[in-house]
Amino acid sequence: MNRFRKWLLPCAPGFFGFFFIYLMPFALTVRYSLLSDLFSREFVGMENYLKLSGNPYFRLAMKNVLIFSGMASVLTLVLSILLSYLLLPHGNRYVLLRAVMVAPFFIPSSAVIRAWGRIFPPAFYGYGLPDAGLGSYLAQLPLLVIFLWKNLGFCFLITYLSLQGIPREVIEAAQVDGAGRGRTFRDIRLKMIVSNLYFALLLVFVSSLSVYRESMLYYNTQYPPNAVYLLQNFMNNHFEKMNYENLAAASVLFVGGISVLVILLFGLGGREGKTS
Amino acid sequence: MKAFLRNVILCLTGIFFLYPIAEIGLRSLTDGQYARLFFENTPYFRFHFNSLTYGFIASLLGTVIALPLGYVFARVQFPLKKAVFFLYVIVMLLPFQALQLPEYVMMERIGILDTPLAVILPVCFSPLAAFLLRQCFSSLPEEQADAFWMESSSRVKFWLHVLFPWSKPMIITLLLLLFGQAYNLVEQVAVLVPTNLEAYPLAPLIARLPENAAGAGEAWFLLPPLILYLIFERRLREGMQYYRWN
Repeated sequence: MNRFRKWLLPCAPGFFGFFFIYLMPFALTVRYSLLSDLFSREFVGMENYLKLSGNPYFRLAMKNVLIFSGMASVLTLVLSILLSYLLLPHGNRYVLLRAVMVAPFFIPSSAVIRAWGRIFPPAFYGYGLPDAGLGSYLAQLPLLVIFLWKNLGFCFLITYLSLQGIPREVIEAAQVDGAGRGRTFRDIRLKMIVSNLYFALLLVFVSSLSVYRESMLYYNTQYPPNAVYLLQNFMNNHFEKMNYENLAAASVLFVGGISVLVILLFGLGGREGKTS
Repeated sequence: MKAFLRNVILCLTGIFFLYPIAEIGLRSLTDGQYARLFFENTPYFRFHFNSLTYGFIASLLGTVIALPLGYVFARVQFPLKKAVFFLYVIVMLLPFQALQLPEYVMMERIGILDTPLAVILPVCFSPLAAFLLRQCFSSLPEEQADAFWMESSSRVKFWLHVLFPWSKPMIITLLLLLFGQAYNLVEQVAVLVPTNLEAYPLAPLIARLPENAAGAGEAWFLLPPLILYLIFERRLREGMQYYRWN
């Protein structure tokens, strides 16, 4: 406690900024979501939430985000695990490949968006596709590829590093007991890093939400085809139309969803801590 | 045979990641793109200068601000620590859209809306920075810390001789990460700098480059982070290991 008091001063800017740039805004969002609008400021309780859940665009956006982000994050994690399996026994032989894979995570995606546009012409993926049905979801393909390009290397590297961090003795003990390479990988290595894998999945899921940026640059409009109309498009459009109460309610639901995922993460970390 | 198959897969993976960068690079070399960019498109460099400035300021400030936070979360006890940390993790995972409205209102009230600060500050107080430093500091072996305290009681020396060397890869990673974040802001700029074009960085404008100078403009924009990445690639690989939960 005494030690914490000494640290209070150096930590002050950080806590202060966190409070004003992030926490306060969130508290305000919760408040706005319960008011009729920013101008008359009447308390309306849950009305905004009810209105929101009946809004067809909100439903569309929610569905698209779940499909896109679900697919993108699971695919990224699975590919990362497969690549780790391929590369793990070869240690430092593929250093160059690893460097190439992680590079897109550190360089600005805005600069290469046109190169992707030439591979996937936005004219076709934007408006050349059917409006509804399974075929319309092909419109998500360019965004999925751009997302993989940007994040797969990053996800692969954190999976790989966390697998590499498992003490050698554990693996050797299992091999002495007769477990093959596939089984050691699946039953021992992956199980030992479950909480890290979940954390990686969460990080990837969250970065898949910011694919909105690439979507904005790629389609160059706020109103992309239906199948890629994401929750972030919905929120941004309501921001621009100054429908703040809708936006606030959507934000609170969003944060609620993320919080549930984080609570799971804390639970997982706690359990694993006890067993190891 | 198995090795051959593996190499084919890995080769294709490499091509996939390299392709767009190579394509932009090659395109920039065709028909006088650089000449046009350098001698005709002067506003480009003003915006690029903004991008670089925001990147450097945000990464330096953000790291300095996060260092004590990371330390406190990792090695000092205080009341409600777990709850505060929980908040940091949630906020770290929120996309910008979830907070854009109140952030806009807030910045208008403090009077920094439409100024460079509106772009820089959110990156400076990035909760991710505090989180990563916390993971790094808490992985310092106790024996190493104890061994130091046996010989000295200077807190300053503890940072200089133990913590900084231990977290060097993490700090370098963080500097590059925050630089990249500030350098590639797009939708944030449109919301928080609504009218002041003077304060715009390059990323949100890059789609508006004329086709006959776009390749060069994009390649030039890619260059600074790419060079930083190539220089520090090994450090980054060490630093990225702190992207973990336990």
